[in-house]
Amino acid sequence: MRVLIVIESGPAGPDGDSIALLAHAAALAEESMALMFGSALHETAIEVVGQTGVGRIMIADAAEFDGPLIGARVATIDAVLARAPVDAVLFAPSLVAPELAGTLGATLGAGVAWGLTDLSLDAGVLKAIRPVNDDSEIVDVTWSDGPALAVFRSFSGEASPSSRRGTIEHVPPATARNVPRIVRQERAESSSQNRLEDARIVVAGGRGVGSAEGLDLVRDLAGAMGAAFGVSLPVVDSGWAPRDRQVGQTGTVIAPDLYVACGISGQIQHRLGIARSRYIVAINNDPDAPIMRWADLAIVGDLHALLPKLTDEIRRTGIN
Amino acid sequence: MRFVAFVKTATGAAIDAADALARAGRIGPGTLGPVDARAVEAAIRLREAFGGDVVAAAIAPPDVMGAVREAIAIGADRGMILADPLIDAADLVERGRVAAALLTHLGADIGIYGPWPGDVDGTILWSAAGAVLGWPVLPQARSLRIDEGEIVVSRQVQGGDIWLGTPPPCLIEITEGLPAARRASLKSRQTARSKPLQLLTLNDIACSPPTPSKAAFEGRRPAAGRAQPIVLADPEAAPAAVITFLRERGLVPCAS
Repeated sequence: MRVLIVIESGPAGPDGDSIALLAHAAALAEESMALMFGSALHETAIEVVGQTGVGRIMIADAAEFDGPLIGARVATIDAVLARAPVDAVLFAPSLVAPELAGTLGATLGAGVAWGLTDLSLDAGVLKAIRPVNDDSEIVDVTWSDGPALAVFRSFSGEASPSSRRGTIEHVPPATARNVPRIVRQERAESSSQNRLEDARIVVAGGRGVGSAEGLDLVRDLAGAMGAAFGVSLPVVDSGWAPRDRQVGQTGTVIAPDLYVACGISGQIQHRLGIARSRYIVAINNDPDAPIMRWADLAIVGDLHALLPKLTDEIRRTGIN
Repeated sequence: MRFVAFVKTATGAAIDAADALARAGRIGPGTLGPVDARAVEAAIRLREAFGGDVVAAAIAPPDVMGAVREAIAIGADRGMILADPLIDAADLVERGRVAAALLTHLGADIGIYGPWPGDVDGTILWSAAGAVLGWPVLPQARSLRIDEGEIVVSRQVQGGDIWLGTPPPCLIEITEGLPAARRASLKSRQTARSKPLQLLTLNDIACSPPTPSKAAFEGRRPAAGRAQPIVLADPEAAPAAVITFLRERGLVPCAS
């Protein structure tokens, strides 16, 4: 089994899911290659080889890979596959992974599976696991013909230091046709206070708060708990809170000990951004909201009545 | 220029058609959902800027006719439904090929679609359609404008926003960041009811039947070891219960 693992690397290197997937695939496959997109990657690649034992890392290192455009990525993957055909392409979780897989699925005539969380070899046959029905059930995923295209939603596991000496090579970004151009980019200003990514507790509000004023109840609870304050995407879209407070796959991906979601339904992009939270408490007046099925503690009720009481109780007991 | 706004086009059937339609059809097959209505609105605004016409298109069973008629009442020039049982078992990539064939058949310059919230399935489908057509895909548009003949959309990414531009043809995925649809008047609804809708099959659009998926999803079973959430339906008891929950898990100091 020969696999190509496609990962994205930000300034801090690949995320934990990508490292875990790389290590797992390197242990599973006879031959493993990683293709890493980003910029200024060489040092990162050396570290990743040591962490994961992957046999070969190809670095597609260019400023254009800091953005989410898929054209050059697809062309680069195509060029790599033309040189070294594989049985499977594994996409680590990222914003662009589903777009890459959909595009390659059409151009390669390959089978695409997505939302995957685990991978195994069963008598030489690649098999993945996909949770369905709000994660209450799972299905097995297999491919009848290659290359198998597998998009991971998350991948947990620990990478242990490897003595394997993988190779590192640079691959030039391939030129893509019919792609949009970047007209402008704006970085969101991130306040150094109460950083979401470092917080042990995050309390966040969603559309269910009803208004910008409704968010004050969430801020009060966050303050009482000594937590960072966050919001979901619809709250930012409504202009009720600044962009740098957004939790989710397109905002800040967090991994607190405790995440308290107030009036947040829990759509998939939000869920992907909070998946590494140790415990999740959800407060929502809709018992059928997706988050109520996968939170650890789900409270059905009107948050406008409930939050002030909860805030008072926390202040009264002095537990923050 | 021809703008095709997709409505009621279900995606996740590769795993579970019933689940996919339940998610898409929470408001009933005959009703136009707000995200689909935004797609129609975006198409109308592009028509106002470029000239041309708007087609409201559904790849769905014929019972979505009411939704297509509502799209016409909002302002689409005409509506059509691609309803073919052969599509039911198609996977996302094959559905993308079908959507591409429909856009080609309609002579579209721009295809516009709205996702279900956070819809990975839709992303795969429309990326496949873009690849088949050779068109750029502008995903997750939070704003949409025309600048010297170029479509420019903004998209949120981790750490900021990015504006992407391309001349037509292209595919545009709209989000709730774009303006809501205008209201249909009683008169426009009456007019929409009198307009004929096109019902098409794959044969009509010269599209070969979808091939079986190369990815199989089987062996559905309960997820092991997943703890059921503790559900509190009594808001009065919630504050004390939350504190107990936090203490039991060592998230806050225990009571002295």
